[in-house]
Amino acid sequence: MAKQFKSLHPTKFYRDYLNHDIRPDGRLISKFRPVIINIGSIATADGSALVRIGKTTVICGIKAELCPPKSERPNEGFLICNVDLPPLCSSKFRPGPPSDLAQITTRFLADLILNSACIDLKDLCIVKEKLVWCLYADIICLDHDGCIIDACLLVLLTALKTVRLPGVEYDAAIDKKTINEDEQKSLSIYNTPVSTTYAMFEDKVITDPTAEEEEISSGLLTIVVKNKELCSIHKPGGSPLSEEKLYDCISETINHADLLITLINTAVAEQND
Amino acid sequence: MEGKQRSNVKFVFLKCGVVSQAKGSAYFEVDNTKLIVSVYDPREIPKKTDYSSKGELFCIFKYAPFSCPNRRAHQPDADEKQHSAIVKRALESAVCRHEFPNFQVDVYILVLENDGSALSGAITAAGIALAQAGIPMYDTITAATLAIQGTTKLLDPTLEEETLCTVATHKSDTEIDYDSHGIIVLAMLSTHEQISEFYQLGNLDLETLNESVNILMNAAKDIVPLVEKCLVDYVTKTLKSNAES
Repeated sequence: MAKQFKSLHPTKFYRDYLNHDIRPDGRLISKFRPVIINIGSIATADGSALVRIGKTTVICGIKAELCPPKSERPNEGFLICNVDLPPLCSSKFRPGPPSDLAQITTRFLADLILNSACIDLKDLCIVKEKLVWCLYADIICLDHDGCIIDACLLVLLTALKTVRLPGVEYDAAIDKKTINEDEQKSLSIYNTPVSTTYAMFEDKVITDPTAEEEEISSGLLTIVVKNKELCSIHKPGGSPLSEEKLYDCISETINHADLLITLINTAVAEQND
Repeated sequence: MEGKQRSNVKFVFLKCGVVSQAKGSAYFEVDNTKLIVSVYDPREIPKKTDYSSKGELFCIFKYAPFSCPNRRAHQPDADEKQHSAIVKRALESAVCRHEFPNFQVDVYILVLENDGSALSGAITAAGIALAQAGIPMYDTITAATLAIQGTTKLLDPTLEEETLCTVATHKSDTEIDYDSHGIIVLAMLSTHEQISEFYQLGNLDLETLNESVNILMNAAKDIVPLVEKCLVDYVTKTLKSNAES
């Protein structure tokens, strides 16, 4: 009976649940879904991680290539991240060029990495003006069940922490590169921005929404924090939000960030042992 | 590795129902090869005006950019397009296409890590995903890969073995003829031993071909119980959780 009611009156179905401060999947209104992190699962990548938030699954593989730097920034390497939402992960996406959502997420992540200065591109320089590392971070969503930005940011940071780069010796006179596989250098990550997403449904704010809840909500809000400070807020349109509620969300995010960072560090520490 | 024979199926890991948003999905792992397949509900064939009495399968075979030793581009290359076509041909004879006229079923395959035998893995996994999605089928479809170099035959080759077996070598220093070498992918509907797809690369003599087909057919049959168990496990699990709620 509940199934039929849900497909006929989805909004009323949710409203009835939310009036009792509970969601159809049994979660409280401000409860997060469990997060699982797995690292180093792709042997062909130089760094890789898989993150699951509830059923949302994203995988990130980082490949390092050698290339000459740009002449305007002779001592900086490159970090190129790309978010792919293939038709495999949800029926919302169709084959063809990247969807708007994929491009927006890619852009948002790139800006975030740049603004938070979590990695220093100068670390990727091998020989000034001649040779730098170019890191291609490809994030692919395998299962889209909401909070895609949170999952992508988490998986990107975790994958960056697992990157191991071989030692390179460069002879500029004869343009000769010698790769030393024995020497494995990890990348310095200076801070870890993490995010949480909220969905607005009528006068309520739902934490960590699923794809279904995102669909039915009147707007989304993503808050990014690092070191207990606000890093970025992403609110793509939707219904207005009062100031108090925004502050509540920010403090909730800061609390949850500790847990996520502990999780990343535990996963990465296990690899180093 | 001269004269080496490996004709028993390697340890294969199969799981279905891995993508919550999809109608049917499967995960396949052999050696380091990891791939994921998802299948969606039939939908109307886009950009088509005339009526087709048989439904269509729409397959996309994609390597993740980080899945191979060298980074792959996002745009599908010739290899991926060819693999898509092979998977489509293999599956078409297993699916009752007359059951959904004028509709298409989407099959998306993503290789997360390529360590050889990805194509045969994709066909097996796609068969499981289609079955889980409830698409009417004649039989379970399974596939196997065999790499041949001279007298050496390797079932489910790794990427390195695949590369070695695609190189042509002369029979001896004095002869111009090439030794048998190549890769065969064979997909089969096992109940009636019907071969739905046979894809071969390289240069084989008839005798080797005969032996190889036998090895491959046995290998494809060996995977069937695994596929069946995977599907039965899924059904039991779903029934249990439905009974509880």
